[in-house]
This record gives sequence, structure tokens and C-alpha cells, in this order.
Amino acid sequence: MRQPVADPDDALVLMAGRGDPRAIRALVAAKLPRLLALARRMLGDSPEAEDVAQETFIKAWRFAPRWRPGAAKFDTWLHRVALNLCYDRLRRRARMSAGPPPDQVDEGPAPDRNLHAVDVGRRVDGALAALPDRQREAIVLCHYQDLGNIEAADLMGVSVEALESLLSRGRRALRTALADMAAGG
Amino acid sequence: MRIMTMDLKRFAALADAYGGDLGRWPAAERDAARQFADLNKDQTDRALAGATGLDALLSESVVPPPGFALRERVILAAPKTSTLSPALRRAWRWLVGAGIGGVLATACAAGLATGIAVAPTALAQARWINDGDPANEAARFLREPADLSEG
Repeated sequence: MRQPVADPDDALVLMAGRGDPRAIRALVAAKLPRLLALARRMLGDSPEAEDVAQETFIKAWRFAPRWRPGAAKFDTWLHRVALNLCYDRLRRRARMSAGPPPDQVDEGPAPDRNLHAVDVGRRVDGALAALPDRQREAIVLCHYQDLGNIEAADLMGVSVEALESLLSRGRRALRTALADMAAGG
Repeated sequence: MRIMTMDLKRFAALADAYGGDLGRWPAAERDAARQFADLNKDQTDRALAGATGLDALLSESVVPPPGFALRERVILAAPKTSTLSPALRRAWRWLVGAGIGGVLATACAAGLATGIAVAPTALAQARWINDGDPANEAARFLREPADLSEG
């Protein structure tokens, strides 16, 4: 039997479900950047990532009044919804074209980033986009979303051993793709 | 989950999968890995070096924070303020539904009552007009085909 899950977001979700504006803003501040980053790295496309983040929240708002504390972590639930939406789009993309993923949108450097870092960032994004979907998902969940191995494996519906294998293969492919940059420092 | 014996092979496999930061490694194996690293520094440093280099590159991928417009769209889609508990909200919805039903039922009853009250007088008047002037009725009846043909 599953143990009840202790979730720091429970109270906020219940308050947001009753329309409390402070809880709604707090949840958006905490979760929207995470969901946007997840979708952006999974899809490699900013407008689509924004759509996924927004759709995820619309589902969350609809579900919040019926949220049952202890059943699951809200953050994990959000990730599951967002990943499903990402895979819907990836499947649609694959049906429409067998071509490469869309070009990375150049959003320009953030004020505190120099051009070298931006260039490296673009190369890394390109290498991530070129990975098989499941390897990319494993790396995004564990490295960028900071999920533990059990949570990430559960989200992906695989064993921890299978997750490790996806991570190893993904990281090896990235090392190869970015070998010139690692050698140059 | 299977807990494996910590040796250099397992240490390297963990670095290969989770990167060079032991803080990101599976919680169940972290302590054993730290102890192993303390005792075998040269070998574990070599295993961690490549993983740490890739971690540094991965950290250069930065997603810009959500813009104002997206944030506001998400907030606007949120549930609207309600100070009532779910049970009270259900009761309120029931009362509103019952109220609308009541108003409609009252309107129907009023319409029916008006019809019942007014109908006998109207019928009597109609009969009086018809009874009082049969020649008019006959004339109208005879006129109708001509009227239609004009139209």
C-alpha cells in the first residue's frame, strides 16, 4: 500500500482551488518557470513550450478544487500533465514530418550572460534536441528539474535501472556531441 | 530498488548517469559513495572529472523566465475568489438553481391564471361580435377569394 505523500504544496493548491489570489500567484511564481523550462527543453521551441505551460495550469486550476492531499505530490502531478502534453506535440510533429526538430528560437542573451555562454548554451540546446526523446526526458527530469531517481523513474513509467541506462546513454551522446567544447574548456 | 555494493565500477556508473555532483546521486547510495570517494580519492576523482565537465556545459543551457503576458494569462485562467467552503458553495448553487426554477414556475402559474380569468370574457365578446353581425361574416367569407387574388 502506498504511504500518504507529504507535499509542501498541498495547502496552496487547496487555497488556489477556492480562488485565493495570493495562493494562485504563489503557485504560478513557484511552478510556471519550472514547467516552462521542462517544456522548452523537451520541445526545443518557445511558443509551443508556453502553450504547454499554460495548458498544464488550466488543467491544474480545473483540478485544484478536487485536490486530495496525500495522494500525490502536486509538483509530480504537474510534471506528468506537462510531459503528456509535450509527448502529444512530439507525436504530432513526428506524424507531420520526419525532419529535424524546429530551429532553436534565438531569444537573445540574458543581461547577465556573455556571448560565449550564450553560444555554449545554444550548442547544448541543440545537442539535447538531437537526443532520442526518452534519453532527453531522463536528463531533463534528473539534471534540470532536479527530481530524484525514484520520482523521475515513476514519472517515466520505467524502473530505476532503466532510468540509469537512459541517463548514461544520453550523457554519453552529449559528451560526444560537445567534445570539442569540453576540450576547449 | 536494488542497492548495489559500492566499488569503483558502481561509482563510475553512478557518475556516468547522474553526473559529478554526489548531491544529485540516489539518496540510498550517496553516503556509501562519499565514503568510497574519501578512501579512493585518485580513482574517484578521475571518474568524476568527465562527468563534472559535462555538468558545467549542461548548466549553460538557460531557459528565460516566463514573460509577464504568459504569467497573467495563467493567473487569469485560475478559479475566481470564493470565501465559501465547498459544502456552502454546493448549497449556494442548489439555492440559485431552486430560485430560478421557482421564478419560472411562478411565471407559468401566473400565465395560466391570467388565461383562465380572461378567457371567458374574451370568448363571450367574440361570440357577441359574431352573433350580432352574421351579414358581416358572410360578406367577409365571400370577399376572401377576391382578396387573395389581389395579393
